[in-house]
Amino acid sequence: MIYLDNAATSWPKPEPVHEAIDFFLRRIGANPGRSGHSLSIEAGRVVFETREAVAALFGMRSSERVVFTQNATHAINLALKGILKKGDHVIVSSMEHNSVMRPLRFLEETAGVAITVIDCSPDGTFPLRTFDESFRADTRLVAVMHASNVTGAVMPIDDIGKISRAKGALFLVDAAQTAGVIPIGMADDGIDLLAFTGHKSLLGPPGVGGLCIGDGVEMTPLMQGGTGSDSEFDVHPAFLPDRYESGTLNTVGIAGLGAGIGYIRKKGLARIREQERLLTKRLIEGLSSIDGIEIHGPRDGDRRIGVVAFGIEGIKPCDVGYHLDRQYGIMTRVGLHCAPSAHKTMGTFPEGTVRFSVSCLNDEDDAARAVQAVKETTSHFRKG
Amino acid sequence: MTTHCLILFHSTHHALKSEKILKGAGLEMDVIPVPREFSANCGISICLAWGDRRKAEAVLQDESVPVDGIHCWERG
Repeated sequence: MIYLDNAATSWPKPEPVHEAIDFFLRRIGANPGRSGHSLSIEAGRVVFETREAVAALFGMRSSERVVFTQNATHAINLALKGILKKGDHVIVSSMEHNSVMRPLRFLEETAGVAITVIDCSPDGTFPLRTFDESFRADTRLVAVMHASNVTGAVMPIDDIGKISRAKGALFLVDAAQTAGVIPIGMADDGIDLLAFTGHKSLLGPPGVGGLCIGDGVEMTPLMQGGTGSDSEFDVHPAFLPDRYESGTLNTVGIAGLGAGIGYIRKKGLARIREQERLLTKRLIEGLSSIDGIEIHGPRDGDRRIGVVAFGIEGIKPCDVGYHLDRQYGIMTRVGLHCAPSAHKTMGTFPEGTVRFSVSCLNDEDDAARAVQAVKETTSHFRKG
Repeated sequence: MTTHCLILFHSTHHALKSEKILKGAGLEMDVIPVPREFSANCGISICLAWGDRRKAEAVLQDESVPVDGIHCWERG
């Protein structure tokens, strides 16, 4: 079996992630920050150390500004609904995932938030000049993904951050596809809010993600509830991280996420990026020789992540995906990848594409076998 | 009864951050549930020797860790 659906959820996970989850459930298990006994304090330390690891990974000065959520979608909802008020204007790219577009459309309908969508080119390139000209007096926020889950195109977030800052707008980055592969510095890249998920390139389990909140950024919390702090009051505390974390956290997931980040730091972001770049190159080179194939996204390896979406003339993506799965045991994702707007930009709506996405646990043999399988699949359908 | 220094925090996060910082500064401490006489908070606090109070305070201030209060505590 070859797993090439890492942009959805990375799998397999490194051994230390299994160990950390197993250890937490067997040996710690308790509620962090609630009861004050030894196991509760130990659970609190696991959460604390993971928070510190996230802060270090994203170049943050203060780990209290890392807030754990269920996933990137939850973090993005927290940011958008916490920042945007009635009549605010927000700018997004046409490549955004539904995790950004759906909460924004909801806010448009319920709170009169105005949305400007910046059209990217079909390979996902973001037009900086058009962006610069789209600001209004009431532009409160710019929300852009760091890299597309469909084309793999990396957005120029440092330039977008600089322009946003100069115009006085906050900058939210959806790092679902890049956290754990591309270096990110909250301050260096001019990011005010960074949403990440644990189950993709950070190599943790599903059910844990977070929002990193820049210095001085204030939001309304999405929820209120128990925090283990200020228990004598029935009003939710105003200090971080408790302000944005209600109810018992996914401690097991956080333990796994901490181990995932530990694995990444040990291996090194540069090495991971290089390996994924090599695998992407092998996939693109191999697939390019197939007659009638269209491979999406930028050609330049520096401008893309390990996502390779393609279509084959005359064969439906869903047929290719099903055949690769059943005949070769190759796991891909076909269709629209929760990003209809991106597919409209690329001209692949509504059929979508077949998508390979690699992780640092794939190797060159996986890429070679996947290419060979696509060649055979193409012949199979053309003969039929 | 011995005199101790008890440091209270708003958040568990800051209690554990302080534990890490104070350990790094070579101080010995206990992380304990907040004694009832100080707060109804169900959180944790840090208890160290009274003589280490000034050093602890200085180190935490250097690292800008928000503290809810530093108290003298006669521990049985």
